[in-house]
Amino acid sequence: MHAVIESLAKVFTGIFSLGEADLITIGINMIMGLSMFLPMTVGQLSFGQAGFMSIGAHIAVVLTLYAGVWFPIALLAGGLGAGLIGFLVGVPVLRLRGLLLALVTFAFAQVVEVFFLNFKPTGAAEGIRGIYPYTNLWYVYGILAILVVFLARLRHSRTGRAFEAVKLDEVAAEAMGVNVTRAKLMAFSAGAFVAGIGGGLYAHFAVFIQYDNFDFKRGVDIAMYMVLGGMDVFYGPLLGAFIITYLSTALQFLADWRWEVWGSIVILVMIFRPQGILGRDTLSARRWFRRRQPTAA
Amino acid sequence: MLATFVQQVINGLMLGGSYALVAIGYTLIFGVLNLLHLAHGEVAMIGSYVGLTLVLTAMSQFGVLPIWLVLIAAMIGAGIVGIAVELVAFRPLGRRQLHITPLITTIAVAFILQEAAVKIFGSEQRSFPVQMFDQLKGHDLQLGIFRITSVQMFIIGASLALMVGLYFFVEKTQMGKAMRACAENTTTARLLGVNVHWITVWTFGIASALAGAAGVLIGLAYNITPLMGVGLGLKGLTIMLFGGSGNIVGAMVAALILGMIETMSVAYLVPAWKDGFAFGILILILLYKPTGLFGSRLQIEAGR
Repeated sequence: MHAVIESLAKVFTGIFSLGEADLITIGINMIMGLSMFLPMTVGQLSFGQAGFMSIGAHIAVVLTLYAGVWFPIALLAGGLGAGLIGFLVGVPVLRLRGLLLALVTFAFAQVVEVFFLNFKPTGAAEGIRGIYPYTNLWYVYGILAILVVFLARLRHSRTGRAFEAVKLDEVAAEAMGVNVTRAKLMAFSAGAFVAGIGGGLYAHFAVFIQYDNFDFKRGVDIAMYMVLGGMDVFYGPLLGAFIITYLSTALQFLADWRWEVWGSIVILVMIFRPQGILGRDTLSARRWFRRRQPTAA
Repeated sequence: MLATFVQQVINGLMLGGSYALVAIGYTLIFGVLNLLHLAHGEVAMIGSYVGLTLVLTAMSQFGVLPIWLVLIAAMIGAGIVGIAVELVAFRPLGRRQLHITPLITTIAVAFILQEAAVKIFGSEQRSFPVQMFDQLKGHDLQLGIFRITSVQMFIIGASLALMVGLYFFVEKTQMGKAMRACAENTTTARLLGVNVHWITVWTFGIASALAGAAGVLIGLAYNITPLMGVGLGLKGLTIMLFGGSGNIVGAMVAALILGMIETMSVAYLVPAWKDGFAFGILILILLYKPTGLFGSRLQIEAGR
């Protein structure tokens, strides 16, 4: 019993002794969580973010390694490349909604994986080694800060309100004069762009990338950040990415059983908070100080 | 040349038959609940391990078990696991959920089952013992220059028998009728006196039992690993969409087509691109024929 309490306490105190590598991983995962959140602002569930991450990573690496391009420019190019592919994929794909969209984007990510498995210029199955370790805390959290400011401002902007309208009801939004197709494409491509940047950061942090760094499991992880943290507000994926990344290392003391415990936590959260841990109401003072009123079932 | 081709056709039939069993389970669950069960491949994996464990224990105690008994045991084992999945990962969510919530819970279940399988059965590749195949020996079919081994015949025959049995179950029995009613419209079915909860449990049980049978059949032809469920699940999903969601006959035909495509692409195209083809097909179907080749009974669009 004592040992259990001690290890649980360590899970909490461990937060204050995170190393630079941990913080970078958490930051990159937060960026990936936001990349999934962006399509969600128009109600689009994209499971293909791992594919865009892969594209961004490969473009950025090829630029820094073989062309000697300055790192920020390479990152931007990776993001733009992924965003462009996102736009091209988005045109036919965004006709679908809900589950079908999730499936088709997921299949897209698988095709990207098979592509890089067979693409000789980026080392095919061997991947690329010896990438320069350019990524540091400044880059990761600088980009994250820009994203956060952008998303915080987006919510109250004209575009943000249009996104919100599309998310709630496409037909009504269209009737109100919102260009639904344009809004969806914007959000989807922006998500791909952010995922590409995250991929570039990841590659220059891991210094070795291979096609299967961006596989099915990565896609599921990214989806979990958003779903667990909360998919209605941008700080949801941030919390989700932090919890998942941190707990998967902090639960080491469970040794062999950590995946079982981890899966059970996910199921429990989904049962009791299907919208994720953080919702629009979680941080509102009014909700917490309001008198409880019986609500109609 | 022709001989290899026919051999590939037989391999395709064998693979397709097993895939069909997984895909039919997908379609049943999707039909009744309108939700995707992403741990379905893992249920099949558990089924094949149940069969394997049973065979190995029986062999150390008294001798080789008849192959059909193994199949039935695996079906029961997988059926129980499937019902447990329903009770843990679907039932508590309620019916009015976002589509993504059950996706995530079943993915979590899939991870749990994979890890549990690694822990209990070990992570190395296993296969059924040779003695198992001896009981089928001597019944190989020789058609001119082509040769169908008895194992292949058993796999094809068992999957066909199960498919036909399921078809009659769904079309002709009272419970099958209730299942179809739930797939059509849950509320109406409930108003007409169908116990929807009970039907849901049975649907999961039957779908998972079929998956367990598929696990054993695949295990007879290839290997058993804790990760075999991932590929099986994805293929089952592709086939379900290909054949039209909720359409059982469609799933059967689509499974045979996909099994053929897979064996042919390994034989005649670049093997490394194999999965790329499967997913490319999936994308094209979703984009241009979201109701599948043979039409869908269901509406699967439904918002977010």
